Amino acid sequence: MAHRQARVTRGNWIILFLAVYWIILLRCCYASWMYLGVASLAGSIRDDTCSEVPGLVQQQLQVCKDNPQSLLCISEGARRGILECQSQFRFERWNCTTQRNYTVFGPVLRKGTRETAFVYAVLSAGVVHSVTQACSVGNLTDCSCDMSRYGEADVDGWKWGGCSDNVAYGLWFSKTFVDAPDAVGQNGKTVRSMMNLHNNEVGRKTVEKLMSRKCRCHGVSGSCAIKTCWRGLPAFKDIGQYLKDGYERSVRLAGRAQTKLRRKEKSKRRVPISHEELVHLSKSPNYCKHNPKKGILGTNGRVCNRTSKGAESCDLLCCGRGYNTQVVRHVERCQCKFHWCCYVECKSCETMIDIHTCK
Amino acid sequence: MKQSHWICMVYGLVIFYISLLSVDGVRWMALAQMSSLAHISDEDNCETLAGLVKRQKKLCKRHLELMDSVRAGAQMAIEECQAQFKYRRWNCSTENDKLFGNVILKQGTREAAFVHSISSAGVAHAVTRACSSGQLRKCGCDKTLRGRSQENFEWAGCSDNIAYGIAFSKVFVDARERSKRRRNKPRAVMNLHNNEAGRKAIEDNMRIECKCHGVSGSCEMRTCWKAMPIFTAVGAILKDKFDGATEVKVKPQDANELIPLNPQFKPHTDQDLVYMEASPDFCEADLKTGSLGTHGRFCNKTSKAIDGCDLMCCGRGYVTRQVRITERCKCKFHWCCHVKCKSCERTVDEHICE
Repeated sequence: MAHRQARVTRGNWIILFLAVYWIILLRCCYASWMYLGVASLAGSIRDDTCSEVPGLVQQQLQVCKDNPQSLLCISEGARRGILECQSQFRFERWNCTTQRNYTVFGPVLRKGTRETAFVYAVLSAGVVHSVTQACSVGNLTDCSCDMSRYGEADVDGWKWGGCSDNVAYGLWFSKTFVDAPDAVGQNGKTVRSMMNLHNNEVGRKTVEKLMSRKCRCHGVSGSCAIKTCWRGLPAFKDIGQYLKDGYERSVRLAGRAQTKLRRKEKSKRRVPISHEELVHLSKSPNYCKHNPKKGILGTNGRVCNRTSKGAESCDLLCCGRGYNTQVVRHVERCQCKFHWCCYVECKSCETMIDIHTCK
Repeated sequence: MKQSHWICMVYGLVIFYISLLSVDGVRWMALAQMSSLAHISDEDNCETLAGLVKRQKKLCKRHLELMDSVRAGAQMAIEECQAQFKYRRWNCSTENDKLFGNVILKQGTREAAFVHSISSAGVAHAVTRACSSGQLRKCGCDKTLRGRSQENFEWAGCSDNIAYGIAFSKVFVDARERSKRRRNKPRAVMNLHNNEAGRKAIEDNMRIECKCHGVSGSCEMRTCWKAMPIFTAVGAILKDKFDGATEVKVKPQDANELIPLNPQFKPHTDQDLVYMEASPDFCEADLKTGSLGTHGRFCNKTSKAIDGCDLMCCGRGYVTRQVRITERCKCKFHWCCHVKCKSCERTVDEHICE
């Protein structure tokens, strides 16, 4: 041990200092807990796993230490959010690309654009979703099903039963964990951190709003003589779709906020911003050209649709640069026939498909 | 005395125009800029048309009556080019005569490919139309289509004689590329391909138009004829080809054949446009690339495509100004017979690139 300490020379100190500085820098600019969504938490969770995760703020570390198992849920939630983001944006110029480093989304999140707003909302919703689901399955020790209405009979003659998803716990958890980096600003709240907090909340409110009643019948041969119902989580894809719609309508904020977020549009200043509206601070770039400094990949080489009019059309996706055409051989099993007994014989059919990619 | 002086002045102006518009390959398009007063009716006129190469001058003398159609074709091509590219950064502008191509068309860009194809299509279209309308002695309607068709209608009327129009366009428009000096030059091969693609856009999209002759309009008897697509449709087809144009190079063993630069991409067909050099971004005025820049251009605030302010103005931003426009509105018909309208004013936002 003494031998090792002796080797901490001046050069090593500088490297250490730089490393610390780098981590602080990351922490200030990126929601780096999102890294859990791309990192693989190999094997089981040990006690020191929490401190090995880069970029967690004090409060997040505390949550993790109190309940190390929750780290898996957070990771799953972030992953769900990222995958949903990529699925919702697969046809857009910015297609929610992630990098395999601590920054996850790269420099794109540095600016408070619509895209940033969506990412914060969908990841926060992802954590609610996965934590709530873990409660119902019994993977977390701190929570279980929501039994508050269990056994109550409804006027329509059915009974609350089964395992209602405990969304209240999920919401609380997401609030304590996801909001932590922006909630504890040393030098007061900036507009940006207020924007992040608002969008996190939009994500959570969306999950809550889309909760629905699910029922099952228990009568003879499936008849509905006895019916039990419970409140269940929406499919995550529905949450993504809802937030994507919100992304299109996102509200631009005034750059300076006193204590409350204000709309940039002067004529609508009086209208309060609800928890259903995503908010953003700055205009989005067009994401057309490759710009590594801004973390923009550009649309060169992206597959586009020649005939459609939507975002995936070559016209929009290629930013007017035109497209290349490739012929791809597509082999399918076809004309399948069942032979007695028991195998299926198929032919393989070949079709040539034109694939268009942006120039 | 006074009259000859005046004629001299007109010709002087024409020659001045033409010398300004010295565009490689499509130099003959200078005809489009000729004053309509200067009717090409004399063989001597052919010599004064500076945009033409020797062979084209010869053709001019031999087919004097076609020259007005050639001019009309060139005008049509320029108008259509400007209509198709109205909302793009390069808008086919001929405002600055030196720049409608002079530089831009010297480079083998996609834009050059489009100009070549539309101009050759323009000539084929205009000549064919002149044939059908009976203005020319050398050609008329297409008489090969006669008798009863398989779909049980009678070929009649005047079918557009597209074969003649295409043949003339081929001889006249391709003349410069076929000259000894330019033969087998990569750029000439590219231009020839694009000229042909333009003509194909008409030939492959001929329509059959019909008329019914039965009692009270019933279709007991039907006569049909072949008609060219309207030129706007030809422009749209070529614009579509422009978007999917193929970047090519000359085949190493055969200087007359073009192959895709990237072998993974689909080889072009006769209908596709080809180009050899990537286009500049046309954001700033640059004499070298022939770009006029997009300063002062109108843009669409809500669009995300190339006509949108973001892309059109290349991120420089835009100014919005309000314009009052007056329209006729609330029109009412009064017996008999006049229509009375009010004039309404409304303000419209115009966005202009900085």
